Amino acid sequence: MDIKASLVKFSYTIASSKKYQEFKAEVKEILEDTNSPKKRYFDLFMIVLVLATILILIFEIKHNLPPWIYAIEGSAIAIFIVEWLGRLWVNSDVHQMVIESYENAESKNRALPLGKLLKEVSVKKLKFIFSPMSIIDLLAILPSYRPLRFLRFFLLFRLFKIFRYTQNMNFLMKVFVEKKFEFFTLFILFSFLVFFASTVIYVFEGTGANDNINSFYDAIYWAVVTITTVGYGDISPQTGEGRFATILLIVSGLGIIAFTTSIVTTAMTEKLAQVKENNILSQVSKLQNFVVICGYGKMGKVFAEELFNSGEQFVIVDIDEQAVIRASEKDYLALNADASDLSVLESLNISENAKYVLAMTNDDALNLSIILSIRSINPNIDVIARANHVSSRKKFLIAGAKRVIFPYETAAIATIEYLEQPLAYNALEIISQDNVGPVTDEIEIFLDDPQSHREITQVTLKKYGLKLVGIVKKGDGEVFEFNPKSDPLFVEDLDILIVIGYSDDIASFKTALIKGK
Amino acid sequence: MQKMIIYGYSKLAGEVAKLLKQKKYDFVILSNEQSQVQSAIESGHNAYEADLNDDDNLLKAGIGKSVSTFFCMSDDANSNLFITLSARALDKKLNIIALASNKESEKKMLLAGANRVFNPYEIGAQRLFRHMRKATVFSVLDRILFSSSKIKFGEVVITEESPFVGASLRTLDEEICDEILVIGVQSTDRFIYDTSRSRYHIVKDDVLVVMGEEMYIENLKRGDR
Repeated sequence: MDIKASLVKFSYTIASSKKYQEFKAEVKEILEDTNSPKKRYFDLFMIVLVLATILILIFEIKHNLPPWIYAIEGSAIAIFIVEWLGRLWVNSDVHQMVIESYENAESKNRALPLGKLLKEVSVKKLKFIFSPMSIIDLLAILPSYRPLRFLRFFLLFRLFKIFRYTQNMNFLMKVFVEKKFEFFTLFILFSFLVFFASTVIYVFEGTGANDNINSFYDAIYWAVVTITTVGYGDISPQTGEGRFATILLIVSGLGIIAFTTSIVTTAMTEKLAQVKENNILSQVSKLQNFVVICGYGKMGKVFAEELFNSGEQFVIVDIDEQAVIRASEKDYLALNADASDLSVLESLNISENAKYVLAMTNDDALNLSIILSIRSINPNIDVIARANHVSSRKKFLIAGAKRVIFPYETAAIATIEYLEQPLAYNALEIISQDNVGPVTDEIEIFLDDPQSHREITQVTLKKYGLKLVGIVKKGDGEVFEFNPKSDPLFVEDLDILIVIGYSDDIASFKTALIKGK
Repeated sequence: MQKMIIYGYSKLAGEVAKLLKQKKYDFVILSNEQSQVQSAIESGHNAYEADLNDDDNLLKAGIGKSVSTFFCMSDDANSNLFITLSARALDKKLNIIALASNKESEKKMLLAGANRVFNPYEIGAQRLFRHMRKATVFSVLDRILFSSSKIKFGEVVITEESPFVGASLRTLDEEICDEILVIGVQSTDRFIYDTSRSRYHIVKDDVLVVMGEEMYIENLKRGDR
């Protein structure tokens, strides 16, 4: 009785302990979160450790190693053990299970079913212990235990441990899992042929006609060496019947090899695309505040160019492989995927890191679907959509797009602007270029006290090499004051200065403003 | 009366026509496709069928005589190119505004003699991008420039007699009256912003880009300060 009570109490204490939870989350991040940079460093460290112990194993065959080397091996194994225990620990939350089971029992007015709980917990933990990766871990650790020294061969399993730390390797391993039906068929065929051929050779040559075939095992060995086209030649057929079996075996062996190669190659190429995609996703996961461009068409291209020139981070998603290739050629991050697919958008971690999303495909239905997908993930993310038909604009706005652009209309407006005021149009073109030199930019004024005002002297502006084009007064309605010459200038909260100057000058002027100089 | 011709009834042409109609310009839409002419008429525009690949038809439409502006905006890039070239050959002063859907055809169009080429996708994306990065700058500039505001951009060509030849761009503001704001100088190969860091000295044939009320800009053009 007492055990149960203290178990429940202990579980609650742990569940409410912030430190414990944080520590466990940290360990879990290091061991399991593939997106975490900490895991990357940890994995690298473990790979080095594994390689070191393997090197020791190789060197000790012919050399007498100083004792400190074994100390290193010992500590490496200690780390392996701690790592494995850590994995066992973070694999599931036992206290959570205790609490759940307790609350469940409580609500039904029953006592805590300790036996059932124990069973549940051990099933979960055992499931982890007997998972392939855990077995590899254990095989890498166990032979270091003296009484199990004869298992030294299994130390090589440490090499397999490396797979655990390399994501891409894992992917390639999956090839075998995914193609298991093909491999299974192949294996059956292979076994059948080997069995058939070894029986034939054993029957005809095992009776003394061939000195090298003394047992059925020899026959099998010969069949495998032959069917794989390795053909050492240490055992060769001596009788006509044996040779005939060999011919059949070699010919079918060629087929099997070709078949295997083609399965592996096709599966690998399929997987390689995924490995590539994974690589891009991991690069995207490092980005903060990036822009997602869905559709690398005529508009997406211009947008990517502008973003690239202004040094902003972005990722392109397009379903057309050719478009992705074109984007990759320009060194843009590009993903070949369906942008309206929720899982794709989620894998990009849009909801946390994306600044805004551009739906720029030439298909309005697809754009709409993208808008809605993004809204369903996180309604706070701005989506800017391209309408290819006038009628789509309204629909996009209803769907929740922040801004809709209808390129033909924008261009028509520009055309009329040019027609009426070519000079102004050209000047605007010049101003809007983001070249290396000076730029036209806006500086928003934020004052701690909205009622106060700030004085900016013309001398200050001169000091930073800024030319003031005007001030947008936010006071009552937006009023633009062109080329103000008063000295000093009075600016109020939320006013916006429009200035021309070098971007670093503008930046330092902004800092000075914030510091209150 | 000076009039305008829109050739072709592409999506862009349709939007341009809509705006021109709003602003009460006198224009006519020509197309070599009956269906386009039909839909232009349905939208309430003045349109008729004509094949402008033939110079006679260009002349008949008024190119070289009464037409001041020619919008070459059919969906066929090659036909646009051909007609732009023919129109330019007929009238050196004609204002030709053409449609292009990629950078290559934009260049070709300019070579063929278009005054300005508009690529809807490029302009759409660029404007959107600018508005997102520097919202105030562009909304303010758009508003003051393309509305009835008195402030305008002006270009002042520096001639040999101009008092500004040899002047330093940096101190130019102090030489010119307070109502004018010098943005910069378009020299033969680049645009130089007027900031206190610029070391540029004005030479003949430069073009000063200024902002201010029309009256002051006119004064400046006459050579007054």
